[in-house]
Amino acid sequence: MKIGLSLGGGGARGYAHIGVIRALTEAGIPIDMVNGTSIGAVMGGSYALYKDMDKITALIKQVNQSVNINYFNIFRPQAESQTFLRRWLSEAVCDIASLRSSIQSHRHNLKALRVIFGEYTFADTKIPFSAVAHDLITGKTVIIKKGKLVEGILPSVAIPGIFPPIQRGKRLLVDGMVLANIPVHEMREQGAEFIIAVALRSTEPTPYKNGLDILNNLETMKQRRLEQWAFAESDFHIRINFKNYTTEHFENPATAIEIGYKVTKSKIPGLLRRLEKSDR
Amino acid sequence: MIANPITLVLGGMGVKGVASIGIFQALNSRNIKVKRIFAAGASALVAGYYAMGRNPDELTDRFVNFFDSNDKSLWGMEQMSGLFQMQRRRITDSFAYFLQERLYCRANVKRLSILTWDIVEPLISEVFGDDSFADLKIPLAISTIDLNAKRLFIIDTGKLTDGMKAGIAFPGLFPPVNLNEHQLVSSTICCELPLELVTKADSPVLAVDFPVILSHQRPTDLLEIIARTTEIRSHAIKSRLLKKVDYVIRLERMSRFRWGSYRQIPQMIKIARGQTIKQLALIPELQSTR
Repeated sequence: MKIGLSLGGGGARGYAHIGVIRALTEAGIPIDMVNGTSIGAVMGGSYALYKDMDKITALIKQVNQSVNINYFNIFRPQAESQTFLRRWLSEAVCDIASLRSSIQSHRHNLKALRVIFGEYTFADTKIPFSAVAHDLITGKTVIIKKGKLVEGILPSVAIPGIFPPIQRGKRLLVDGMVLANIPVHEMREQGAEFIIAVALRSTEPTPYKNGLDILNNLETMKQRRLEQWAFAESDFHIRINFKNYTTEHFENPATAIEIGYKVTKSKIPGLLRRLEKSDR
Repeated sequence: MIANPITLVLGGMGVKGVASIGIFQALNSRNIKVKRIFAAGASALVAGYYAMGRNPDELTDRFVNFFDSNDKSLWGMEQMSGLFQMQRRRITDSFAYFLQERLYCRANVKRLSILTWDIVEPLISEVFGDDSFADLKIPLAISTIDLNAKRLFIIDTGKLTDGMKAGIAFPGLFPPVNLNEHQLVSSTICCELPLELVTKADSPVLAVDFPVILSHQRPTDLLEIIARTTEIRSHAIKSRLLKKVDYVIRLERMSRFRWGSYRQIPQMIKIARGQTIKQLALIPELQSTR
């Protein structure tokens, strides 16, 4: 039975995927193939390539030291001390919204991905791996599984609005989170028989202070709805809930890894039972 | 043969929901009985009126007069939902685009919404008075979203005016409605039709869909990109939920109207009526014959 691992998106919370994979491998659960969206693609790709969690943790440390990937922290309501600055920035974003395609460029993303993946290609991975992006032209999810890993994963981290979409032929690619934040359906299409889905969630209430906050909250709700359908299609799902850990805090991997590890560890008995059932 | 009464699912973004008047006209002309209504957005106003045992036709003039007399405070709504974009060769019916367009985006950064309830409240209380959901002849459920719980919230009890307000509380346009400590907004922005409420017991279910052509075929700026992603999501959710419904009427010709085209209400109703009658003819099992 082919076991597939579908890793969900969620920015810096994605470090938890390292803990998840560590717990799964410790329990002797073989991962035959892996795919992911956004940070899920980064973590899934690095696992498929190295199959060595210590090496990946070291690479992430290196990324944090050499690349500034802490984007848009300032927009978060958590940054209470800088209310004025945040408001000024939000208004500035309104003003540039019809002039530019995004707030940030891909410069730091590319740098970070190059540190992790170098010149390796999808063919070099030890187990089959695919990154999931979304094509804005057709409105459909796209599976990327060929070429250089850096180039294949980059569209998957191009969060619409934050980073510019990537033109590839007739396609205009952005983060797969649009429809497939947890790409279970895509994993099934690639032939996985037992799919473990990993979702990164926040348990904190999201307060709203203005109309745009409300719209953002509703977008999250829509994403949750789509994720529920992904769970239903998976054979087992692990939901990792975060508190006080936002999607932008890339500088603190240890906490997220720990959370991912602990949650998965507690789910292992249930997972083993489910695996046994499906095997028969 | 007497056909079973149907459960009706109505929705539609913005002013388009008012076109439901035409749908009820069509149902009446085909002698189709309704046993239950699920509504979202402005269609709730029409459905509520129908459920009171009144003739929704009477609402047409009220709506037209309402928009005529409030033209000055609403001018931007119609313009932004289409006109401006047409001049810039960008024809769009995107609600998300509208709310985040520079002027409105700035307004929305400062407060909860662009409009206040002052404009619409008189109209709603004039139509529904002090009636409550319990007074309705046909059970009606209005689908809204609880902002704090991030969950669907169904209103089928209490005062009709409260339910109606929450039903049309398009986020960003109107402030959320406070009802028993819940902060409610319209659910149309997540899914135009309140399909989540439908259960097996409601069969036969008839949903009336206003298909939209996705705007921004080739999005270039940030706003277009965000608007397109929200549309793609809503569209995906709606199409998936529509699969579990017994009968779907698709009013394709409604796509020529925009969510803010309030000057074209009579035309909308006429087109909705015509297309619904045509498509109902293809579903003979819903109609009673004598």
